[in-house]
Amino acid sequence: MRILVVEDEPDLRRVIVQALTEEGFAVDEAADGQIGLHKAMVWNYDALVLDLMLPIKSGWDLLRELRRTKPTPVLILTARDAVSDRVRGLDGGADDYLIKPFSLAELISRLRALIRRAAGQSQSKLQIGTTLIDLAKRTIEREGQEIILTAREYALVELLALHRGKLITRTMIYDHIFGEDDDSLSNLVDVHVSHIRKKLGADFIETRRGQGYIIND
Amino acid sequence: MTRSLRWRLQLWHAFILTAVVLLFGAAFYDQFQRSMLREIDADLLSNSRIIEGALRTVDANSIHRAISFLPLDLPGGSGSTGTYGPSPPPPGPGPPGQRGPRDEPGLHKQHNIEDEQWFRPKLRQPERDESGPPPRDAYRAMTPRESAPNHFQRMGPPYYYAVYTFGGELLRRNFDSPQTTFALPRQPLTYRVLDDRREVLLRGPHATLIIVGRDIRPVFQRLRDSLLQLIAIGVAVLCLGLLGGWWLAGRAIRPIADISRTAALVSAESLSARVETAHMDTELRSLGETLNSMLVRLENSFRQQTQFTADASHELRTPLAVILSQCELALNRTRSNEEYILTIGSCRKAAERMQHLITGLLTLARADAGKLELNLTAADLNSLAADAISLLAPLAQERSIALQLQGSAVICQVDRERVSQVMLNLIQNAIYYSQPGSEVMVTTAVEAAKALFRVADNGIGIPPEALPFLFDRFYRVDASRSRSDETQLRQGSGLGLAICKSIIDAHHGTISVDSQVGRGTVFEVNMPLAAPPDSR
Repeated sequence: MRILVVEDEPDLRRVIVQALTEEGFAVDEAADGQIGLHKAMVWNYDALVLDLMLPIKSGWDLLRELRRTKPTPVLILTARDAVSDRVRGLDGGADDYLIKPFSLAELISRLRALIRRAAGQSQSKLQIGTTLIDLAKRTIEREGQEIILTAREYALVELLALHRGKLITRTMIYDHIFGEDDDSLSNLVDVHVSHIRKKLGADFIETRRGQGYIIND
Repeated sequence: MTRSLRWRLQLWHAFILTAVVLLFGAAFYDQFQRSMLREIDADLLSNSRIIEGALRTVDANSIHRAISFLPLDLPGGSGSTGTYGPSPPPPGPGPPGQRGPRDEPGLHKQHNIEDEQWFRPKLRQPERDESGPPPRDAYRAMTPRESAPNHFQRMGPPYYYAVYTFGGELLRRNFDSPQTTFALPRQPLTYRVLDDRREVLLRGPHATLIIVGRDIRPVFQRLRDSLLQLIAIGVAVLCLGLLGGWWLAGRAIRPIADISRTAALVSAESLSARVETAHMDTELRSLGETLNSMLVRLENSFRQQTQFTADASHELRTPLAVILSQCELALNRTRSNEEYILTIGSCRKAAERMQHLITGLLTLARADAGKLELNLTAADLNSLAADAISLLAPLAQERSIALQLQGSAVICQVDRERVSQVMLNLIQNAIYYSQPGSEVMVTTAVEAAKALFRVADNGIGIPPEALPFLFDRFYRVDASRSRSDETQLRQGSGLGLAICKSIIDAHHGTISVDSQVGRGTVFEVNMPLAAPPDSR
């Protein structure tokens, strides 16, 4: 899952990016509202972490302009704790509101919930055939047996499983699994898929040649 | 009830109204009584003048005889059964005369027939009085026989008369005349009140005293009647006045009730209520407007306070968020030493920022409470500025900015540390907002008997709309400027200029700014040369 962090406070931005990366998210960052809006418009992020008091373009403006075209889930992360600000943020199109200081664990858990809901999935556990995916713990069991996947492999399974029954193109996979700084070799996805098939069974992911991949119900 | 304005107004109103009605009634009654008495006195006098005039026409020696021409029975009189005549008057010392008392019934009869003539003015009797109006002359021209009855027509009841000699001998009186006594008055003309009678005592010719009087009981009866009327009218006026006053008082205090209703709506949450003053009268409108302007000030200061609290909390929350999230991340799993060092360094930076902010807030809070302690000593502003410049030289060098100091020594009583803080702040701002390669000019001087400290740069300038708010707490001209990675380390709290202003205010000085976008900014500090009278 790919997330954009828009935060002007460099130390805080670094911490959030690191924490999200360690949780297996692909993370992009922006230090001001203008760059943030640009990135959010260009890429299809799974969620945005947005500060309100931003240089050049405020979080409010970014949100308003983003909402004209994109439904990307947005979590506002700000020190503004007044009820009026929260109401304004949520009514302005934000999907969640978290006040600084905050717990990283809560931030991550809220982001996961946002992504889940955006994919039309409210449960944090997905059952596909004999495979059980725990989105919160980020674990996969096959017939009661825990299967160890790399972070990237898990991210790919999670993406396909959240949108199961739908075709996921290679571009979408690149968009959602790799951050802008990742080296994404063209055959990297194929390598990941073959590894996953080895661990979860050859028929877990179906290949639509020339189009992409799909996990069927 | 006694504390109710309406009741108090009503009580005062009642008090004043009663006093006015009483005073007016008393004055009116008094005037009425006097005018009636004056009228009576005038009649008495004119009647006595008639007798006097008549007496003048007779010879002094024959007064006893001649006086008999005065009628014994006045026109309209009740004859011998007079009210005041328990005993018939003595026929007088002189001879009864040809006409005598027997003639009086004749007179009486005649005037009874023409009763209405009795009221006629003398002038309207040309058939009798051909000589014209002046009565005195008329008397002289007339014989007693002719003149007296004629003029006595005006002398009917309730008037009576009596004529005495100075010695007290009764010469003549009419039948109705009551018994009377007198002490010879010194003045030629005297009025007196005897029992129910009013009398005039006139010294007549030939050492006679003419007394003309009348019963004034009917007059007093009339006065009493009119007094009753007056009281009735007064009570009615009082009642109407009190009713009107009650209504007026209610009307007058209605806007006050409006105002208090509005005031009741005001609370910390809703300071937006205003008194409707459009329909009010001048005095109450000014009260309402005063209240409204107080509400505006209150609302503004409340909004500023709320804004300040929100800003302060925001500024404190951000470094706190850095510290907490750094620690949380670091503790998530085992990290390398480098990562720990980075985390601790970043936490320390955030903590320093909080410390800086809290110190600033504390300074401002002390200044607000008037408790900013100044350690005043004689100091040279020029050398303080030189110190500040040498402290900031590395920063200026890094940004290729030339710091220039000019001006002479300016000795004044200041708190060195705090004034240095102001200088550092202003010079540092100038460095941050100057283009590399430009110059920052620091000047100290004495101008208009004041110590002057000026920092001028050729930097990016401040837009005019931002100037009025520049010294406000947490005000930022442009968020993008103060939040760059570098400047934020140094300041970024948005309190710097507010603190400068507090410090200069405590020194009884002024700080001002002049700026043009793209051309540069000048900050000017003026401080008194002598020690401020009370160093807070």
